[in-house]
Amino acid sequence: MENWLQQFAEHRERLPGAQQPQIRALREESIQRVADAGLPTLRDEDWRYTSLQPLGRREFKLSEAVSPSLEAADLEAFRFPELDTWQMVFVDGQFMPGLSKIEDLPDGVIVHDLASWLVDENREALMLRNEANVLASLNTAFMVDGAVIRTRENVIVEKPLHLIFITTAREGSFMVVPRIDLRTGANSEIRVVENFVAMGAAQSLTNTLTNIVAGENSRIEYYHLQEESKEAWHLANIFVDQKQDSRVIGHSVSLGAALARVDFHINLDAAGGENILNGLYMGKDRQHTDHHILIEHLSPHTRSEQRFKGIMDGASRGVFNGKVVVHEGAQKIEAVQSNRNLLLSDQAEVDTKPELEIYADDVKCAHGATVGQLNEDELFYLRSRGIGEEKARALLTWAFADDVISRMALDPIRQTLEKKLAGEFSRTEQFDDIRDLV
Amino acid sequence: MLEINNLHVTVDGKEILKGLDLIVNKGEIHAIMGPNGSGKSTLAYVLSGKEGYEVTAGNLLFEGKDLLEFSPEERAREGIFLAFQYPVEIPGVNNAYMLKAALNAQRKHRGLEELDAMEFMALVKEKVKLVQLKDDLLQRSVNEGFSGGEKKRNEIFQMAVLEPKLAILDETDSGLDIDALKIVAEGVNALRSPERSMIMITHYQRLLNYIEPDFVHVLADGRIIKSGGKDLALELEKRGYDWVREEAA
Ligand SMILES: Nc1ncnc2c1ncn2[C@@H]1O[C@H](COP(=O)(O)OP(=O)(O)OP(=O)(O)O)[C@@H](O)[C@H]1O
Ligand SMILES: [Mg+2]
Repeated sequence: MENWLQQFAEHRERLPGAQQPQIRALREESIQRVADAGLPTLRDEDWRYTSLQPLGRREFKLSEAVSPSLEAADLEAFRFPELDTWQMVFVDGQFMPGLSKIEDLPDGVIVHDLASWLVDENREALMLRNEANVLASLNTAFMVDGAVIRTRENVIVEKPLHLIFITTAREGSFMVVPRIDLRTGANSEIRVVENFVAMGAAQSLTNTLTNIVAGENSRIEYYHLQEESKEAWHLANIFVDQKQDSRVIGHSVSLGAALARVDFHINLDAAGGENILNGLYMGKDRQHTDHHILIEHLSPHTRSEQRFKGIMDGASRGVFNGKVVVHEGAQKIEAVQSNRNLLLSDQAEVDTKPELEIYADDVKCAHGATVGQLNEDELFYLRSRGIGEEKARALLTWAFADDVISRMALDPIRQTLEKKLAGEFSRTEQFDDIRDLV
Repeated sequence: MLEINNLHVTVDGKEILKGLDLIVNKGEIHAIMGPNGSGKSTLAYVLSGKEGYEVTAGNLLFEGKDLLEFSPEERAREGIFLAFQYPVEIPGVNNAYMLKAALNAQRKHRGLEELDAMEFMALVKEKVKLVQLKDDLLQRSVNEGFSGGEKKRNEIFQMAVLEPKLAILDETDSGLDIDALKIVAEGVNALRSPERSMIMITHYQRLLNYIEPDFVHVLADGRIIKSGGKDLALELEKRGYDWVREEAA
């Protein structure tokens, strides 16, 4: 905590928007809230299984505007083959215009880096809310860069927007604080991919916040792909507000980081709103991943669906908490939630808790959670055909995971992840291209 | 080809097979009949190496090699195939992919060149006709959502692709209507060869009208208590098992 207050004091004059009284006041308020509330502890119901105490003991320096010598070729590893995208690249938290591709956007689409957005006083304000959340406050106090995205009504953005957040291996621990702010106009459509990746064993703390307001009858497909370094911390808050008849599909994949905590806060504010969230988290060694989802059905005729799967190996630990609240008067809603976990080792552990709070009577809700191992009968069946035990295990694990991945609409992302997972699960035996017969 | 001597098998602490003897020579078809729970599937599982089936006495020799030394996949690669009584559904694992992986693992074991996707699909096209399996089932998850008859046909289709030396068909005929039974039987007959042996487990003499066995055995109380030719099956169907048991006692 001391460390952060000190960092704030050190940086307050240099943070983007420091010249703007409004932004300045906002940052000051936020850091005060962090100072008052302190970091959550295990006594906090939402943090029962995930301790942030080690964070308080480390000295994370806010990443300064150094610009490492990264070239376009270095990015190839992070791009999805054959996927044509608009692209914003951030290196250790800083926007890199030279590596990005957001010029010549079609009419009716705004994609802007956050830092300069904050500096210009003529811009409309960002969406700022949910400040009861300490990590969100911390993000607001420090937000360094990120993306502001707007679509005008009726605009269909054909190419996805790929946001690549790269951390690099540097001296000491450092903090990056991205903020993404997306608002869609009525009847518009956009796909946004947030991709957190590392070059080398970056000792980074990412505290990212995404704010989404889906306008009336708009469509958003949103990806949160976390592949940070195994030394990193990844803390993410994603807030979604949905207007009438809007449809938001989210995909969350968490593969990296020593500790990852991802929170979704979904508000279905108006009739016809639909939110679908697919999630896959994987851990090995001593990785810890925690997903918290809060779905608020505030209006009748809204629909939500969450399907999360976890695969825990080694001595890793997975946490899932999905809470669906159906508010008074929110009749005729449908809410489906499932969380299935696969334990690949005796030391791996999962804590899962689906919760339903219903204050309306005409609703359709289903939820369930399972924790299990690979099915022995399935394994034997494959082996009885001549497939080696390790490959049989890999195949079944892959199939378990692919159920989530296969729901991604962007094929190149799906394929890239499928390949990556096949490589993860198969340690010695080579997978042939798993899809080459499909 | 297969020699089983005095086989004793325990499952969950309960002795199921109690001194079973059986010899299957190259090219022979043996039918095994017997009451429910007599240990027929247990025998099939022990031959293919399923875990949890503890052999407490006796031995299993396949082409002179001690089968108990081999894992399930090694047995398959050596040429043993089990058509399951209840084929397992495997969500998310593509039928064709699974079979290609299986075939190539077996070919590799035998020092043969692995097949690429094109060669494999050509082979599949040929074999799939044998059991009249719909093409689209190949592109679905293994057995997922298949009807009972489709699952059984899929087992025989896999056998056709893998070309085992010894096939164990565990009640492949159960639950099939007469048309489906004919198709399956034709498929099996097409795979008969002087090099290939089969053990057919069945409750129904009907199957043996279509696939003629060389021997019929009665498995009861964990042992083969009577053996004979195909006429034995007719007699069993008429008179049940009790008289055989009494005779044996
Ligand atoms: N996993 C198990 N644990 C305990 N007992 C078992 C197990 N599997 C099978 N058995 C028992 O072993 C005996 C033999 O079962 P098996 O399945 O081999 O019979 P079967 O002859 O194939 O019968 P069916 O004609 O009904 O298929 C039965 O009494 C069965 O209940
Ligand atoms: Mg049986």
